[in-house]
Amino acid sequence: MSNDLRRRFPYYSRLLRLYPPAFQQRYAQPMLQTLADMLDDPAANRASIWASVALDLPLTLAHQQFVYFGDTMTRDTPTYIKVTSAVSGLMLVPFITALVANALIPGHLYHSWPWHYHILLVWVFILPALAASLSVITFAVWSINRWHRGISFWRSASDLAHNWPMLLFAAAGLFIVILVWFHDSVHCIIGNPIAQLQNWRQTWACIARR
Amino acid sequence: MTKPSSGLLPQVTFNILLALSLKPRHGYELMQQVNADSAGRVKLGPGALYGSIKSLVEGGLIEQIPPQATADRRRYYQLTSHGRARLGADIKYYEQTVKLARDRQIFTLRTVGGSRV
Repeated sequence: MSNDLRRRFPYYSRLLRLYPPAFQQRYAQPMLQTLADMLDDPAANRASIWASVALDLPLTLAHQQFVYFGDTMTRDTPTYIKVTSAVSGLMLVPFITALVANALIPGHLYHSWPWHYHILLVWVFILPALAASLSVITFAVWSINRWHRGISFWRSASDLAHNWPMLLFAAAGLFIVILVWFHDSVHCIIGNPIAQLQNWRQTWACIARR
Repeated sequence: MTKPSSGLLPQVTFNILLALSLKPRHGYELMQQVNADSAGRVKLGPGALYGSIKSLVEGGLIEQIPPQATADRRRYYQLTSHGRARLGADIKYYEQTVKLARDRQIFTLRTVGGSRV
């Protein structure tokens, strides 16, 4: 990237670093040159140019990142990551579906079969915990494989284009598990001893229902 | 009617190819020509322009002229033979569509009380 242009547009040139690496390497310099040409045109309205750039940058940045993530997933991501991510995602579907259904018809589903103790335990806790565990294990295997090829753990952890499916499902699964574990309404199902002691009346009522 | 090879080109792509049909151009020149050709309907920012250029280069419709071949440090782009053929196919399709519309007198039709005259 030309130093003159970088000095002239310090903030814009820094923002261009947010584009995917290949796009940035190829088109950051021409983009800076084009912006310089736009602003150097005597007939141009500088305010409207900056307004259009302010709109253009986030939209095209999001688009290029989306394309880059999609391409990386299709071309570079190992099959085992795709498979385990798909399985982890599927494991979270019952929880999300139940949550949405319960929000649409509040209270009506509590006596239906998905809320039966054993089934509830599966979709509310076991499946999200499995999804999180599977994603964490996949991430560990992938990081170790890369470490053997000389890529540091931190570089793997920050390589969102490759690791996003694993991190996303690990975070979602863990979030659900934590949410459920500390939620008063399910503590007797999950068996969280602290919550059981704190909410002994609810625990008793819950056990009696079972 | 002539069928375009694989669907019609998107508006922005069509305008970029049309702007490059006369001569190779650099980014800003291309932006201005696209704006002029589309009567101000297609306005491109640097990100949108180079996003489209990237797709067109990858699709083999345009190519960058090697930097040493140009006097200034701007990057110039030109149509490839495939790009020219693709643009020609779309123009032919639009010509036939306009001819069809003229034959059906769509441009001269007026409506009076809801019925065409």
